[in-house]
Amino acid sequence: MITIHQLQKRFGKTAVLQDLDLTVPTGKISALLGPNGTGKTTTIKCAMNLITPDSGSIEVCGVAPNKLTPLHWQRIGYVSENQRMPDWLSLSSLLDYLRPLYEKHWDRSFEKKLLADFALPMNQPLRTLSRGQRMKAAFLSSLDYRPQLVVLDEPFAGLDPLVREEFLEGLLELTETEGWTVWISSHDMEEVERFADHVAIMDAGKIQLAEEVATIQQNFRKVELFFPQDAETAADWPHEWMGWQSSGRTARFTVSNFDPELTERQCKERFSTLTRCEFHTMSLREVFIALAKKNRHEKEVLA
Amino acid sequence: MKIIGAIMVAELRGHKALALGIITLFALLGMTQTLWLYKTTPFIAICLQALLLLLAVLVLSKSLWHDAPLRKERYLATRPTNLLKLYLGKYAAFLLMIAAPSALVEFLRVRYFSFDLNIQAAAALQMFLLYAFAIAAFIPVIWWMHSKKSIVMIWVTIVGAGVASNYYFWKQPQSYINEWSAGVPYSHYMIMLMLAIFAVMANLRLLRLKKCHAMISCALMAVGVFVSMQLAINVSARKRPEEPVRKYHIANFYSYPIQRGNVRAFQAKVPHDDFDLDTESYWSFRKVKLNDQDYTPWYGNISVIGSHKDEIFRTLKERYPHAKDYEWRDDLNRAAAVSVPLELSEEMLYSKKILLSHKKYRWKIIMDLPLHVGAKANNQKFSCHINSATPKNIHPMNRSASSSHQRIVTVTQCNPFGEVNPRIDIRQLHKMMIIESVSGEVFPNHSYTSFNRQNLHYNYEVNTYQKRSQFELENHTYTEHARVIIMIPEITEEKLYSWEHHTPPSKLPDLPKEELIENKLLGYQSASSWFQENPSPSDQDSQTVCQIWVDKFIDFAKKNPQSLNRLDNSDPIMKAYKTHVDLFAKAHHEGRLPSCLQDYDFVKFYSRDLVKKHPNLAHSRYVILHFRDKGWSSYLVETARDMLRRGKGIYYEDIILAEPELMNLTLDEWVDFYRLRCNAEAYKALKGRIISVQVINEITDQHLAANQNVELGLVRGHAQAPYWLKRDALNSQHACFSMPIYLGIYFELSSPLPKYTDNHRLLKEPLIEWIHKFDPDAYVYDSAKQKYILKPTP
Repeated sequence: MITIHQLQKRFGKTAVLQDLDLTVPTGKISALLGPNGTGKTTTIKCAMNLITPDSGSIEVCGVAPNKLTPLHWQRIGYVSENQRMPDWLSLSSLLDYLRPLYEKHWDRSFEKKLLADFALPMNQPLRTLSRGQRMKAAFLSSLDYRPQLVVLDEPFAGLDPLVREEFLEGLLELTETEGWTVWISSHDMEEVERFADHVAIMDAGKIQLAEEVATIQQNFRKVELFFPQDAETAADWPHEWMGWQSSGRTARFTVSNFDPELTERQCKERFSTLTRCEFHTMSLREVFIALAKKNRHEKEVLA
Repeated sequence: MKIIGAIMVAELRGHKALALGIITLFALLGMTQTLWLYKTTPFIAICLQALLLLLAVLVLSKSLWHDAPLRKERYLATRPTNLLKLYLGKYAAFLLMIAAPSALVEFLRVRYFSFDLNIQAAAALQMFLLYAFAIAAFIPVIWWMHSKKSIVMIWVTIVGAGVASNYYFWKQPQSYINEWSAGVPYSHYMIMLMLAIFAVMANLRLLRLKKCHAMISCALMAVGVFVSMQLAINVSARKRPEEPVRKYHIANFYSYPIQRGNVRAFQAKVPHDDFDLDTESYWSFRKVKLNDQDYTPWYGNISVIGSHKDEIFRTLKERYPHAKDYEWRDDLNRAAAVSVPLELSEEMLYSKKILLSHKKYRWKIIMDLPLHVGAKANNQKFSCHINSATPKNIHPMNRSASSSHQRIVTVTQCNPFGEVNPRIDIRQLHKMMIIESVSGEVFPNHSYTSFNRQNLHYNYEVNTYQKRSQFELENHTYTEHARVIIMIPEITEEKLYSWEHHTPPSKLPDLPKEELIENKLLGYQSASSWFQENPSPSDQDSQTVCQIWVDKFIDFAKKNPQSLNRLDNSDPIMKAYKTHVDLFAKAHHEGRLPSCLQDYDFVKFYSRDLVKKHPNLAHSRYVILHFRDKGWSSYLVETARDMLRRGKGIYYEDIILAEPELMNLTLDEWVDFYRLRCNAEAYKALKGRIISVQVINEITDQHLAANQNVELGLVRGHAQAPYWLKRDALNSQHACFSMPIYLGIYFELSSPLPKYTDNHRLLKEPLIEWIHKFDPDAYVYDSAKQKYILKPTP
């Protein structure tokens, strides 16, 4: 649904995006993860034609963002925490305003359902609503026309846990039943891990990892090694191993191409006094931290 | 349509409060211009209009900025919007919020003044279109701005550039009505055009060069505004299709500085033979090119249409045959006038090219209604309402009178597809007078207060007492038979006349530049005290001593011109002038002599040779008179010929007519000259000698048919001239005392004239008695004797 190739963007002297490559698969929930300031919002804005990139190419629904026509936009829903809404309108007026833009795609029954779910005041100006309520209003106005592509930039900010849960459940249901493509950016990795099919982890303007969640969960393991005496240090170090730590008779590291037999054999080959080897599954957060540390280390070595 | 409607509704909903404010202001403005007209002041209306403009700009800026296409983060950026539909939706909302109420208010206003339905509709449509155009031009200006800062910047720049260019254009030659209105402010249409051009520029993205420094952007904008203004002016000044033009050889020019307006009034008159008894006419410039530079007024020339008493009175008489003659203060200005830069004095003009328009018009009574409260009338362009006065709207001069007996005659002009020129005000387009329909008394001059020239609304005050003359106030209570008469001039014909003259700049006389002396009193000193302190040197003193004294005296005279009044030949100043005449003449030639020392009393000491030595003296009015009186005209002939051809012949008329054969002019030039200066002196000087009797009589008869010039009539032997002579003598004191002179020259009288002395008053009564007895019918012109003689008794 979205393909990004060699995207670059600078703001003044700061390079925000550096040769970024990314694909958002159709019909899946894709997450763009990373800490604040890594370029997630810039990437999304480039894809939504809100920012013009310096170089590189983007294709959204098969066309460049600046070539998106009203027909394309009728099938795209975009919600961002930074989006400025027409605050002077009430929700009712906002929906009246938007309905004609989407013509036949606007689903009045779905609108009613969402309105019932979100329980928003209809006649108050949007500027008088709370942050969470305004976010809900933004969702409502971006989902009522059953978009094929939903782009959510940090959508959970300000939402209470209950609404967040309800919203996620709804989103998952719709993705499954309607085949929506959802592209969501967040720095809350635990949350995303629960529903995302595909994640891309960004750091310092680059994609560190872009995989199916299941693949990541399968490939990444925390390995714990036990020694009789003090932990040994390996002479040669496979590329897939990262984040070596040792304390006393124990050592830990992360492996990114986990295969129980292969990993165990590699460990035994390198550590002659190894007594035991344990493998632990990793959360996306832990994977991200491991990758980020590896990056930092490599930079330090290069420096 | 659905999308446009939805956008429009959203806009209206979003700006409910501001729209309500705008509509309220429009309503208030409408009230001040109708029902509250006599209870408010123009200042309130101006404030309301300013507030209205401010609110309208606020609504437009706010709304347009929110969805400006260049703003990437705008809400609609990720929505399926079509820019055209968005534009149309917003445009429709603005029309409803701003243009529709304005049109409604205009409609009600025109309706209030009882204009016809078609005028009401046209006025409303005009107002609607005006705002529609303004809004349409405004949208792209804001829309193609890339940041909020640039909107602020653009407004600051537009206003700044507007003010600066207004100031610039104010200083430029403009249409000229009177001494105090040199410039012309921008009209609505000019501003609209400027905005539209600016919008196109913004659209072309000329002004949002991202790498451009803000100051450069601002400068570009300012230049844009300025160029737009210039373009707008050029467009508005574009001339109508050329009509047949008559070319002339001789014309008259007159210019004088108006220091307060920082301009110079430039008047021109060409000869013409297009007299018409039934119509009056006025002149205006169609093109003025001086020193190859175009000074054509960019709003078109708008000379005030003068109201000639005879013409107005003739029209009035047609309806009220018993109307009595009255005192009329307006005078018809026949010369076209335009203002040019102050620095462009006569001596600098080496090239003049003008195209003059001569428009004929007739006065026509368009309204005639009783002076009763509640009376009203209207025609296609004017309406008239009569109301009772309130103390507030009485002219300050008349506030002492009881307001309950006063009437306000409100004359309103509706100009639906109006004049481009905002300077044309209603006063120039109509005349209002009151006539007592029973007694026939006419009251032509009324004090008035103008309510609003731009909105073409004026009111007149008519009080229970009337200002009869400039010096005395006589109480007059209008009777129930008093009627309000409103007349307008109807243009019947327009003709064009051209004239041009070129002198190589090198051949221009080396005249000193006109010195513009500020009228400052620096402490008065009498001439006698100055002479006591500074005795005049004698002939024996050295040239240097004399020169120093003369310079010192000139300096004194400049500072104390009033001390040189009432001189006689025994005065020390006269003696000093005579003694040092050469030095004074030199100062005169160099332009250092103040005007108080250039009088005839002084220049009479100049000898013939001084003019050869100091050629600029030949341009002095009093030197010309002095030379004529002395019979030295031939010394100034060449200068006179040159100046006549340059359009300044009027000053040299005495020389030109003294010895016309020496002038060496072509016959065409003489004929033009005579047409221009058709008077008794010229007739006598040129008849038969220069212009054939037949031609000169033909021109004179044409002239006399429209202008009853008594002396010209007498010298021509016009059959009606004796009647004019008697009529004028009875109407005017001056003519009364001139009559015996004319009688002595042009008549062989049947009875001797009563003697009279310099003290006219003593003998006025017997003279008037004699004039009453004078019977013009008894005389007939004898061409052999060139006098009127008694008709032979049958």
